[in-house]
Amino acid sequence: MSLPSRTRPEARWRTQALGLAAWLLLAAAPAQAKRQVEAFDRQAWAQLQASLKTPALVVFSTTDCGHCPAVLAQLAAAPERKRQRAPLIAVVMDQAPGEDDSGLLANPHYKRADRVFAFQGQAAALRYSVDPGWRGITPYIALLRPGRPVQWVLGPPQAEDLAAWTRSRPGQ
Amino acid sequence: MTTRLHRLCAAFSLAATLLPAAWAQHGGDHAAAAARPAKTGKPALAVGAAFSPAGELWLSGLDEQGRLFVQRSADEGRSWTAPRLLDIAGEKPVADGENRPKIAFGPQATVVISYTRPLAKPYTGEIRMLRSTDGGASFGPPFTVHADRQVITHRFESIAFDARGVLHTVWIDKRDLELSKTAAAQGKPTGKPYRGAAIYRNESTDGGASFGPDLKVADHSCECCRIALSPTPEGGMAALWRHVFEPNERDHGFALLQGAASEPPAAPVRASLDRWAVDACPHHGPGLTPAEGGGYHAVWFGLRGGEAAVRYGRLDAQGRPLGAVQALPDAGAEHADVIAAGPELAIVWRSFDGATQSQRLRAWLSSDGGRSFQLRELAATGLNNDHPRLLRHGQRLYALWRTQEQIHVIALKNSP
Repeated sequence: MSLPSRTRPEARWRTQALGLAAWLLLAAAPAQAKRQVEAFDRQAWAQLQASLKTPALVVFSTTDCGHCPAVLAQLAAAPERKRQRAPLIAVVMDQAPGEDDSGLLANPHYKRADRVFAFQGQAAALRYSVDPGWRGITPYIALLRPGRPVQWVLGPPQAEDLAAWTRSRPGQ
Repeated sequence: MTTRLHRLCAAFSLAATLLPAAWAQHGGDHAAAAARPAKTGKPALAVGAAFSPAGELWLSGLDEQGRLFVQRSADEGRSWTAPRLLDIAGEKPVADGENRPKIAFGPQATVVISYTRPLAKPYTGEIRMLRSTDGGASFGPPFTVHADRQVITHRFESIAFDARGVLHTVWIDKRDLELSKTAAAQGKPTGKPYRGAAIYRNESTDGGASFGPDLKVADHSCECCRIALSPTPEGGMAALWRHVFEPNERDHGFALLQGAASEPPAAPVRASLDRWAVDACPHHGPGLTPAEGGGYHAVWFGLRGGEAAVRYGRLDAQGRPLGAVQALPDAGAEHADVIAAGPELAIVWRSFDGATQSQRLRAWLSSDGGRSFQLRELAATGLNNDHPRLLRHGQRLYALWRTQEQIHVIALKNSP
């Protein structure tokens, strides 16, 4: 049988190549699965907006904000977000990075977020860097699109807020 | 060979495509975040403060390790004793602006310190108390103040002794919300969803040795704002809190803390008329102090006609708005407190100055019971800081502000 003798080395190459690809994917998997609490410092807001390549939703929250879990759940499930593959980002204002990261990441409400930040630095200055007029009321939600001004919502976004976010285009 | 190379390259190409995608999903500034300064916990700067009968200023708060301490000053805050740690069996109190350890002095050398201990579930807690009967020289072990022991919200307590020596503890409580949720889950008719939380209280007539039953003050409070307490002219205690009025307006409710367990709570008096409709947490509780000649001075934060401001107004003896309401002369004012001694009236707040990137402690002082005010700059910091507090010792008024650098204690006089 000639077929096995011809295909054996090719099969070996294929196996090796696929094995390498699988190894690389496995190596990548922990990086994807492992979340960490990122520092939200005075540059973070500008950097976040500058690095924006897709629409995104940012929820500013506190650990004692009773209204925040429902908003995180609402936005995590929002079809408008899913359609645009917009990441959901939570920014916790009353807990610093390193204070209780594992507790924060294990919190079922924050598990819904693709990224979790925590305020690092003077809270008032950080709030001012985000929006000088914001008085710390939570949840405060930024509906972001690249090239568009921030669309702010205080409390649960209404259907028209999300529709406007979905419709907006650069320059509008 | 070419085929083999193509396939190997294809495998690498696939991996090269997927790897950055995996990283990108986690965050584009991953490396930048990792390169940032060493992570440190946010300092828990929120403190309670009170003058002892002997005239010493006492603080209760958390140190850098989150341990409960007391500290005293015999010279109006110019110098302080070393912090004295209190044994609370390893409990981890909350100390954030609106929810801080409190200290109160009662009759017969009684001192009590209260704090909220978070429980295992998010948003839950119980109110704990330490008690001293020797003027604060020693404290007994912590105990839970309320009768209800469910793992639910009992948080944002306020404590005060009235003129008769009765210790009042008032807190935000979600037992009625939980009942409503349970009933709804069981398919029982509940009507509309329960709005907000509830205000509960109890009384101790023996300086915290024992407590009466949990008494409901009002249904439908806001969930995360401090409760203001003020002595009444009759020697009792009054409370002001952010309330969720029908249909969904976060104004302020006022109630006199009186009445027995058998009496249903009276509807709270509406003390502010901002009509702020929002499903959010302002994290901004009000301030309340008795006014000379009757009624009260109050300060609160809210949105009125779309304008966010801290406002000052007078309330009558029943807590109803009286006369014109004034916004403080600072668009960035937040977390104001108010106190009076006769015609002397002080309002303090903090305000962020974007130009200097610092937070300022400012005051509005009146010597005519609030008819006219002078604006004063008291202090500033570029670091984290607590909400400012006001204290009264005899006829003298003081502002107290703990920042990451120091504890400011400023005697307030209506002239520079």
